[in-house]
Amino acid sequence: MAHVESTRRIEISSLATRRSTLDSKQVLDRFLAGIERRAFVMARVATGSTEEALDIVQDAMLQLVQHYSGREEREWAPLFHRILQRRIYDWYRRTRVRNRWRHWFSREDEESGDPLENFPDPAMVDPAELNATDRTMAALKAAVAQLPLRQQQAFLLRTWEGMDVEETARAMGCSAGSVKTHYSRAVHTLRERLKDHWQ
Amino acid sequence: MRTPTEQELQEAARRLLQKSELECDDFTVARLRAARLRALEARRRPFLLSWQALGGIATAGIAAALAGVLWLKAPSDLPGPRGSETPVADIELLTTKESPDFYTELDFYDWLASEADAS
Repeated sequence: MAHVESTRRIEISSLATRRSTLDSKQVLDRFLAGIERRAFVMARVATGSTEEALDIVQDAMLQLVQHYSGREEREWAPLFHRILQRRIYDWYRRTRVRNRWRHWFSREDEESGDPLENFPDPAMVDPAELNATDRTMAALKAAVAQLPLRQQQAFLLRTWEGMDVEETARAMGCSAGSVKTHYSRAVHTLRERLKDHWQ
Repeated sequence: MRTPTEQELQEAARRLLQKSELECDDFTVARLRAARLRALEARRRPFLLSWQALGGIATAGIAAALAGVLWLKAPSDLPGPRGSETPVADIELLTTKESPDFYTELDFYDWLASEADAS
């Protein structure tokens, strides 16, 4: 009788563990589903490439699940953004090195300026086909895409993710002072660039 | 045309984000979903992992024990003079004052001694 009771207790405990695992998996799934599109848009603005953005977001999701899924749910968003921004920054550095090599080996690139500023935006539409509001949005999108990476990160994390200075600093892996500087410069640059497009 | 304020800029940026999210095509959305599911599948399962780790440790332990046994057993398989299987016999050979010829003719001396006893 005692043996039957003990076996039953083990089965109940095992079921509870399995349900808890499933629940936490569902919670994690919901969290990632809620953040993935924003993350993708942010990565695409930074890289100008759908494929690169998808790779970066997938990698960030994988890293979060593998290393931080055991953490408390409220910690996931800052951790995810930290990983995402790190991946974007890594991509930026790799691309810069690659472009520097290309620049050395090809004189044609000498006049083209910063290659990162010249990445085509696949979602960009011909401005002539847009109305005034859409034109403003297209100009804003192009202006954000052309910001230096750290300024862009600070601006998007604060504006899109609604992070405060401290949270943004943690996500970017820098000091709060740097975030303030990057954000301020980003706003200044955007205001300057958009003054000819703003109604 | 005019310069936008910071607040206008922020509001426009938020609208831009919403618009960009909505504009994601079905193919991209499906790829993001697939990436998410792959990530969730790769999630670590601590219970399973601990058993895997224990299995690995047990296997390594058995392999180490087997290697140790084989290593200790190996010298006894080597041929030695007069069955000197133990290291003590080897040390005796090295430290003795007898000439090496004495040990090579040991069978002869044994026979000589037995003949002397018989007579």
